[in-house]
Amino acid sequence: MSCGRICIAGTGAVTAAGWGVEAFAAALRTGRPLEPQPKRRRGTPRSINTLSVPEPPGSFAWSRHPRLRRASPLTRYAMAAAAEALGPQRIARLRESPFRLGIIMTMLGGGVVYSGRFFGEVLKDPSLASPILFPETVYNAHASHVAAVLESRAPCCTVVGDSAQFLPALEMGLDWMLDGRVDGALVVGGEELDWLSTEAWGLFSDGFAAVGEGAGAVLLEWEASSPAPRIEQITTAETYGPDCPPRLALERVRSALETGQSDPETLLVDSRCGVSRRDAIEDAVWADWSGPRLSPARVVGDTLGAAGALQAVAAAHWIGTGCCARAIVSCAGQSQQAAAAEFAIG
Amino acid sequence: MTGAGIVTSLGLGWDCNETGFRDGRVALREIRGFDVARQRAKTGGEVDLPDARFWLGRLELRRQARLDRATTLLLIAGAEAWEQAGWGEAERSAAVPVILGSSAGAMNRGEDYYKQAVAQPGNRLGQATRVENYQAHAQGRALADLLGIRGPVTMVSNACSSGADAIGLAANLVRAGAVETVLCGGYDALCQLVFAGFDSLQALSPTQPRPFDVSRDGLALGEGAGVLLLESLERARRREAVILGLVQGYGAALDRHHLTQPHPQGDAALEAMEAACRQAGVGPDDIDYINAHGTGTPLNDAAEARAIVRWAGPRAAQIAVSSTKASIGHLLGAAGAVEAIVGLMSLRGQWLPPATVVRVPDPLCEFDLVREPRRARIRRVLTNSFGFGGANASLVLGRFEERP
Repeated sequence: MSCGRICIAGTGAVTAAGWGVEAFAAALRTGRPLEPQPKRRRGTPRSINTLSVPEPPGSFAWSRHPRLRRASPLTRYAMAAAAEALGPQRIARLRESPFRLGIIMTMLGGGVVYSGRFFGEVLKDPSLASPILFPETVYNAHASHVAAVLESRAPCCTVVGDSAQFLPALEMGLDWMLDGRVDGALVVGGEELDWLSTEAWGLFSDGFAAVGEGAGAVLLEWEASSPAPRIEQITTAETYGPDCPPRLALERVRSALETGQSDPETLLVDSRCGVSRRDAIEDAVWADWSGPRLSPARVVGDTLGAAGALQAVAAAHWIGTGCCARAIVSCAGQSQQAAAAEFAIG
Repeated sequence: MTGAGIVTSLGLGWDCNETGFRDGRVALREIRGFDVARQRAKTGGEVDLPDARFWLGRLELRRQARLDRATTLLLIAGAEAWEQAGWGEAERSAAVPVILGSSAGAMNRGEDYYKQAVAQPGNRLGQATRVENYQAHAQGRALADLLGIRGPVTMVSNACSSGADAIGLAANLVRAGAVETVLCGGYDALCQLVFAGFDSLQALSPTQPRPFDVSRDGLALGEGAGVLLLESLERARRREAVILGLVQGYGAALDRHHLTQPHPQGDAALEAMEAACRQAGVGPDDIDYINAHGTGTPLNDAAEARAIVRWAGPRAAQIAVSSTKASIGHLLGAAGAVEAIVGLMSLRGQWLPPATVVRVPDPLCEFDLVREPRRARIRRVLTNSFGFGGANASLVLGRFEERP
């Protein structure tokens, strides 16, 4: 789809590199994978490399909100990314004006920390399972908390999917703005790690790559006076299936891009994460690409449902800081679909 | 809407569900799928799945053998909807989007994964398959593969409004002209984690769910699926399809009052109803029946009753309202989709589904609470779906009458 004069007005990121887009971008600029921590639960056959989000540098203005007292790490990552994308002035304005901010959140595993804890309690004795934990296990708890902190009553939607789901979610945000349902859209992709999701990921990796956690957020607004990155195109997602293996799906989305040709001015932000089976798909489909290229998941780990969001954040940041004029986000998701998008400025 | 498929504890398919809802039959029993001995509540709307998997033709045998309960419910409803719509090769060759809502997806598979990981940490046998099938989009993909369609799969998880949101988002895609056809709906299966979760909140009725009754004491959980095939009116007419009804409006609003409790005055519920009616271009005078969210919990029903009365004003007394959760329990992510299909049945059959278990209506119910089976003239139905996290959604469904 073409997105008119809607721009990316802000971005936010929380990764193993730290809290904020700058920390994320600095790690990407080095091009080196962050040092992972091998984790192994007693009795399991091998350790799995993980890249966890470090403790925040201090407290945030929003962190005392009553809704966040028991919130999971995922909610905190999402909230931090959302707050960064919006910025303090916009957040203050949101609370004082009738501005309708739609919120869309994507994830793959969701609130696994509380889900695992709660189910552990259920298996021990369901009559003693904590009523405080259960509501936090619901997929949309995180988006609900973010909306509550931002005092938004506009539509809020949680979409569960693999890393590529972030791009269709961006499109949903654009649709909401184009049909007048909201004045702006905040699209957040996030994920948290615990032993459940780490071991699950380990079943599909080959021992060298790292699984990560965090969140990425993109704020869409109608274009203001100052130039900002725009979304030129988001392809229709190609769902994997018996007749559409991941490589074919990514080939299809590349061919659906209006300008998918190699160009030294265009940055390719791909979904390579260090898992050879998955990286081979991106390598094959973009074999002729000779322009600049970023692979965020190779640096901060495969952040599952957050990975597509972090690709989009990286692309917007590189454009916004004048490092390139155009960027392609190529996302071959872990298990569902492939999608691509093109961002530009000017 | 040109195709509809439904599975609830009343049975598999349109016919037995239509009879059950029309008569206000209650299909709740003690849970058999997992141990509820130590739970406060013990009943739910459990589906008897058939042994014969006649609907599975296009799925590989390997995948058939691995189907979890939630996916099975979804596939049965999806196959019925497909057959009713008469869709075939034209839809298979086009990219039909699939938009589904679910609250817990294949949580049963997640539970199995967890149990094995804890009991036998080194045993990876079957764990990868459990992880694959647990992921929500695996269920959407299974349905697409069963029907042989290829299009983007979107899995909405807005708790108990997921099914209604999926239908609303799908209808908006058709309305905007982005697609001509879309498959949508919702599904959820009973599982131990969610049952224990609602029980821990003391939201489950230890007796029987009695939505809008003055002595109501909680909800019953249920399971099932509702799938709708939507297409543009022009396309449906072009292919001379049987048009079951119209999705005329969708509205959503967020209640940020509390993670699990509605605003006492039903502010966001009111907003969702108003938004749905605004899109449909109708007002309270045009709505004849509301299929309420009506879980049967004291707080939810009170907030919804207030919202309906605020929305309808003096017209409230003329609007028939009932909650079919009295019959089948609360289907969570499937609720909005199944209840939209109940609304569709009402529109087509011109009857109102009663909640026969209600003895003394809450005085807040200043509307026509349907407690006995009856026939009525119904032009439009409003369905309400409100969920944890403050997700509120309403749909306006209209009767299709071809003008000469």
